Amino acid sequence: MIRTKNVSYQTKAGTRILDHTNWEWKYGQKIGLMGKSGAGKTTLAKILAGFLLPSSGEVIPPKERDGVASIQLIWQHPEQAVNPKWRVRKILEEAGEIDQGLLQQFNIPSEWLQRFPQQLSGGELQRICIVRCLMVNPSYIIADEMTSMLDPVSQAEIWKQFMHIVEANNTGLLVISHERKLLERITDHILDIEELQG
Amino acid sequence: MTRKFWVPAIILLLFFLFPFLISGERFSIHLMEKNQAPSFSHLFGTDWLGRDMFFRTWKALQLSIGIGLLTAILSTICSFFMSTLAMLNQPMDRIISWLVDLFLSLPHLVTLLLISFTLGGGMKGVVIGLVLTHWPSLTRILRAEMLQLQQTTYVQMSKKLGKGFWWRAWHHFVPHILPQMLVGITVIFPHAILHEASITFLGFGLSAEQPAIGIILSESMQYLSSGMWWLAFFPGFVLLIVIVLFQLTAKGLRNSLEKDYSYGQITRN
Repeated sequence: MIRTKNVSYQTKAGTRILDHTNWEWKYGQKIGLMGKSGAGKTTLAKILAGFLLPSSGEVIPPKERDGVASIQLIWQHPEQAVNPKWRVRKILEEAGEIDQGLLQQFNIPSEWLQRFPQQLSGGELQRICIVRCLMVNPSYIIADEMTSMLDPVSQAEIWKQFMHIVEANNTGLLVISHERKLLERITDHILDIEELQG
Repeated sequence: MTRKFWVPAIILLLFFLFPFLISGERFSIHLMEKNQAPSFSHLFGTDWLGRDMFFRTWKALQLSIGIGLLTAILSTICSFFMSTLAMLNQPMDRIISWLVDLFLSLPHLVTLLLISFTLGGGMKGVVIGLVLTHWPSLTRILRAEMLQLQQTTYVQMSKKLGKGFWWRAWHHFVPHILPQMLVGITVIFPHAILHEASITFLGFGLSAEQPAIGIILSESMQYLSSGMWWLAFFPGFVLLIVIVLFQLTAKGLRNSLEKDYSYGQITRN
């Protein structure tokens, strides 16, 4: 279980994004997160995943396994989440032995493994990031606009495969998206970011 | 030219290896033939003791290239470790930055003299002195680069994927700062040779019977006014050629490291 205790976050400019947020995310719970642009959805994701420290309050994260965080974030911008100097093979290997089954499920041809990130499109790279995240088998996944760079058909395909794995492992999932239809289909509960403030 | 970095590299290697073939007899003292201008029997002329300057220059060059390269590489490695240590945590960063400022606030030559003198001079004193005085400015550049890298998402993600600090330093930082490190080596190399020359000139460096370019140049100072221009011209010119060759090698090497070989075609030059 992940808990936030009185978490507040204030940007350097002074805008309050989160204000004394108390919230619980139970194991296996699938939550959708919506909200206006700039409301602090990504900030919340970063704070939960430990990429950012809250201004006050604390986040109680789940236990780590061998130094690998049990909560993994799938970044909104895949090109920032991979080292541009590495080939795709090395990017995936950073998370451990490459799982050929996962590559097939996400339609990643093995020829891509020898490419550099700038030789893949945003959507293709996003799939690499999803596979990398699933390879460490986290107990919680935060998917921050994970498929915003894909066309609707491949979006549906990716989500189908993704949910298949997530449901089989009973992974906790927090999906940040602007598409209510998608969230209604895949999550148990939709949360508006404004509910968390206050 | 820059694409084939091995061409200047091989010439440089030959420059370095050729003096092994020269016997000590070739540049020993022949008082009968002193102060001769360049001719076919003595290509670079002879000095005030009748030593053949051609062979002496090559022998000196070997020593200077050796010292220059050794110090350039060692102090670049030193800068890499110092800047990586600075990434470890906040207090470490403070300590390293303070050390950099401390070393930069003293004139190079003074620190160099002190270190070389404490270590008893000679080859060891010169090399250690040069290494310890040349790391700070490069460390500063590398530290700034690494600070930026550490903030990137992929490095933070690497931490979450369970990779340790030194793993990240080696796999994430090194590929990014390798070009800067190569530039560092190219810049330090001529610096090291010239500093070695200046402390030797002041009497704290190598002993006078070991021919190094610095020693030859500083000795010739006294004879230049009597018209013996060849004593300084040829050794200086050869040193210039070596430095140019070295920079061509480094530039070519950097270009070939930055090339993208993923499909056998070059997408970035």
